[in-house]
Amino acid sequence: MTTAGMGSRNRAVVAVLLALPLVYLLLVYIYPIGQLLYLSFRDLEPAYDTDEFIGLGNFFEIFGRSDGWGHVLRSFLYTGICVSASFVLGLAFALLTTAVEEAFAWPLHTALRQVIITPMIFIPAAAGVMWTFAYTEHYGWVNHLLALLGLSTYPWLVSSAAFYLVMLTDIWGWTPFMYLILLAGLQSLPREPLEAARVDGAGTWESFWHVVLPMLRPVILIALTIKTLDTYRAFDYLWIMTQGGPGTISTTLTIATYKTAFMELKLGKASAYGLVTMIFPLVVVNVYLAFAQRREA
Amino acid sequence: MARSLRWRLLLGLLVLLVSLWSLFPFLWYFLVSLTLPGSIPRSLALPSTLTLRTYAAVLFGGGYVDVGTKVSIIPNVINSVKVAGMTVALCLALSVGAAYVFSRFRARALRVAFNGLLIVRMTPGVSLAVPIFLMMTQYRLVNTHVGLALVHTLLSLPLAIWLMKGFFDTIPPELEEAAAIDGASLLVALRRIVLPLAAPGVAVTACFVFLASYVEFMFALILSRGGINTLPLAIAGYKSEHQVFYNEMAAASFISMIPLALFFFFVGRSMVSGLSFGALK
Amino acid sequence: MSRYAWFRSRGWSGGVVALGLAGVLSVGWISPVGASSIQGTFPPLKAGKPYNGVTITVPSQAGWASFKPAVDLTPRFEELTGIKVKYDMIPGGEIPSKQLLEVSQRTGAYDVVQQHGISFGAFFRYLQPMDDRIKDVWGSVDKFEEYFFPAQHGVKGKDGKHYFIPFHANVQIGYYRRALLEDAKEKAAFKAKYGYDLTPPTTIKQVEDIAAFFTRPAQNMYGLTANWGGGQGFGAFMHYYYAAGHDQLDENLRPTMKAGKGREDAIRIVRWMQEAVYKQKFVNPDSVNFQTGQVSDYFLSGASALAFGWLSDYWVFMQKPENIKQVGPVGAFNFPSFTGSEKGGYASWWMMGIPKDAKNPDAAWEYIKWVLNKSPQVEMAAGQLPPMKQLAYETAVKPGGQNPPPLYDAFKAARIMIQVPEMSQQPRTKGIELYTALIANKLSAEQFVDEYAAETERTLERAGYYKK
Repeated sequence: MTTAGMGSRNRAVVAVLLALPLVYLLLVYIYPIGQLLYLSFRDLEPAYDTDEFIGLGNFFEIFGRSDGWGHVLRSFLYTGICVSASFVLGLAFALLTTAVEEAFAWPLHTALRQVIITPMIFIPAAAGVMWTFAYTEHYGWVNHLLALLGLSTYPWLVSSAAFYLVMLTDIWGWTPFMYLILLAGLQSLPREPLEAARVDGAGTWESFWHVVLPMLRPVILIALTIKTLDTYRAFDYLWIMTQGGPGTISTTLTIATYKTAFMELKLGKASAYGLVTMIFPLVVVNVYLAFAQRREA
Repeated sequence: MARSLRWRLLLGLLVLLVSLWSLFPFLWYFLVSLTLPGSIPRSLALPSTLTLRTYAAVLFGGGYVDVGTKVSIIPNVINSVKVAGMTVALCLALSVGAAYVFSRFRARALRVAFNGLLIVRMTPGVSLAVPIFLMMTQYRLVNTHVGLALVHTLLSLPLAIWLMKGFFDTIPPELEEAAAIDGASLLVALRRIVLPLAAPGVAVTACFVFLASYVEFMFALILSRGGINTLPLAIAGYKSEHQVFYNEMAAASFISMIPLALFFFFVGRSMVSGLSFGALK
Repeated sequence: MSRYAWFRSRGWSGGVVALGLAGVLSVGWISPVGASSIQGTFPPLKAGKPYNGVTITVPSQAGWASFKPAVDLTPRFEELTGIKVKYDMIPGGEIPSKQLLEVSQRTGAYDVVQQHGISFGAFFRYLQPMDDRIKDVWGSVDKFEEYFFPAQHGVKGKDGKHYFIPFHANVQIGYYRRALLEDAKEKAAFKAKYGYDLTPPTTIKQVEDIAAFFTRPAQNMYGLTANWGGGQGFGAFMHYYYAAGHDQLDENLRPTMKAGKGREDAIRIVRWMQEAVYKQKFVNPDSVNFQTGQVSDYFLSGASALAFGWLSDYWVFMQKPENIKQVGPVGAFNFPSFTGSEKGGYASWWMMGIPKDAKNPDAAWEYIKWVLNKSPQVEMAAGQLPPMKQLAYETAVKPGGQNPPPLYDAFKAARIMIQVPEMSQQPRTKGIELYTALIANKLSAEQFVDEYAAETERTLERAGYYKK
């Protein structure tokens, strides 16, 4: 449809319907983005009652004394590891489910599906505290297991392993999401190409690599994009489990921004952090859009 | 090969491993939720007594230990529901119409706007934290349900528009065209014909928006000064500066699971995969 | 010359006049000021309910056991004055930031702020000076300061005025299991091994020996458990450093940890803490994650012989037989100084002030005065030390008190941790960050001390304290 043949009243309705969210976004998104840009170049600290323009001062401080590059690195590390691991696991689980569906007459695969998505049913905050509890020395099951095996217990979340343990929790909690998307994708694939390949004599592994995966590519791409950008801005697990510690071992850009804003109360510097944090998603989205436009064209 | 015994055994083993991966972490935690404060075993063993009293304490208040305040999480549940409810109402009000327009019209400006929504969705919340906080303080919206609902609406708006556009796409435009020929205005067509047909889709969208608000942690943490503590905050709050109330924390965690479990149980696989595609388009 | 000599020099008549004056003044000090105050209250509350119907908003810490009696008794305050109190229960870690952000935006949302002493620096520019109100009640600022412990003297704005009134005091102390330290068999074995009697420790060496002696992996037991996690851990370090006889800043406001004896002692202390966990292993590994609540928990499960932390909150709890079934009677000891110094450790205060933009400042002042009254202070003493010398003595040293005497001794000499206001945000935040890395054994003792000293110096330099 186009608005070409529509009466003016209808056109007005269309305009209003579009305007509603647009106005809302203007107020609650565009304006704050503008403020973000403005504040990034100022030193705003309620604790010292300062509010003045300092040019690029915040950025120099972030990438100088405040280990900004370290935060960027850790953000990418966290995102990279969590996304790849939950993708691989999600795919593996999806394939397992499909295989189970074929191999067993009774609906074991339904039960399996329910089991696999259980971690996602726990709200992130609850999962965060549950895993924090699991790693405590004298109450947590991880150390209890180690003690049972005769190994010594370890304060897991106050060690260099802390960052990776939070990643493990993230993977554990979000694999079901990838799993569901990939499973849906797998199950909506047309059967013919696969059967044709089989007839041609392709083995299971080859048919998987060369037939299934290519067909899944659009689904995979989009799932990865969304998951990447969601993981990049992850907050809940990191905050609840380690608060960015010990030291700055698990401080990503998100944690650094939050801490700078609400613990150090340096609102200008936190805005600068926020700006820096936005760079990666903007790049990814633009690349994705360019890619999508090209494919459609 | 598909149904050979060896293959089935292998699959069975894998299923077992996967189940352990998914479910084992819950087991110990669940046992802890069934014990009284102070009686968590210090090794991998069954607690001496299992009881539901911790659940009762978490739900209805009252404590067992003189130290620390143990209050019911019902007010937190109510806060969560209030905020999520407001979010759903506001979000749907803003997105239904726009989703319809995106679905029915093909103008370049609309495509650009739709892509713009992608940018909104992908913006890290933490980047907006400072400006939004300052704005909320200025308008006295800190520590209010409305304030938090406004932020949650922002976070869910792009997804809501996407989902509903997807649902509208599945409704053939012929019906509206017929109505237009009959002289009905756009609004009437929308109200009388399209919305009733899209009602299941709207309901599903409402569910997702509700859940997104229900589990949201960061902005609830930023904007609450205790008065609007939502359920995620209450659960995380059991780990306080002075003490950690493990048993209550566990009980509250499992209680919080109920709405999500219900959702996945009833809505089922088809809707979830529908979501996945709707989100991806 | 001494007071006695002064009397003598003026002759007896002068002495009588002086005594008479002293008598009049003290009577005026003790009895309610004027007839318009509620009988029996001190600081006196205004009679006649002049603020009837007003509602004040008071932020407080969620889950704070020591303040709970005051919260529970608030209806009594509402009855006496007609002022309704609305509490905002903020999670502990966010108390400074949430209240500061609110107050600095001048929204008038709070009528009172409740802050820990170390945060006072960020707040006083947004608060009303209290000197006039203080003079109203105590007659003079000096008398007010006399009423409280010495550490209070440091908590003043740059203009020398008071902006905060303390209502809660605390200091970290040690607890021990009497069943272990007083047991004849243990004593004999200890004496045989170390050559001196087993008593609650009075030197650091004794702490080490006792803790090592009672670390028994077979029984799942460690010698010492402590609140060495996160911000509390940093506070524990500061306590030890102060008790070693140092302040954080010298008379030129340079960090004492930068060089010399201060640096030496600081390194020694943090190294001791690190080695206690990772080398000597007489402190349980999870202590690096512990807040005081978990220390108490752990100690009460019988897993350690000694405990250290803000344990006064749990003293009354631990006197009840049903709560100490697994550990038996509990005793308290003042944690020894690393250098044998007489100076005290880190004094913790909670204080209240009134924001400049408070909607009901006078009603807020009534509330603050009420919190300082004997009731609820005595009820609160179940989990804290009243910050007033007299009342603290009564609750901690006199028989029948609710607090252990070592608490009073420890607090008497304790000093405030932040000497200038700018130290309360940075470098403290950085210090805590460095500390978490140190106690995770990821940072050396020297690195921790040097970087913290550097951050302190940088902060004060930026604030303009060092004039070249």
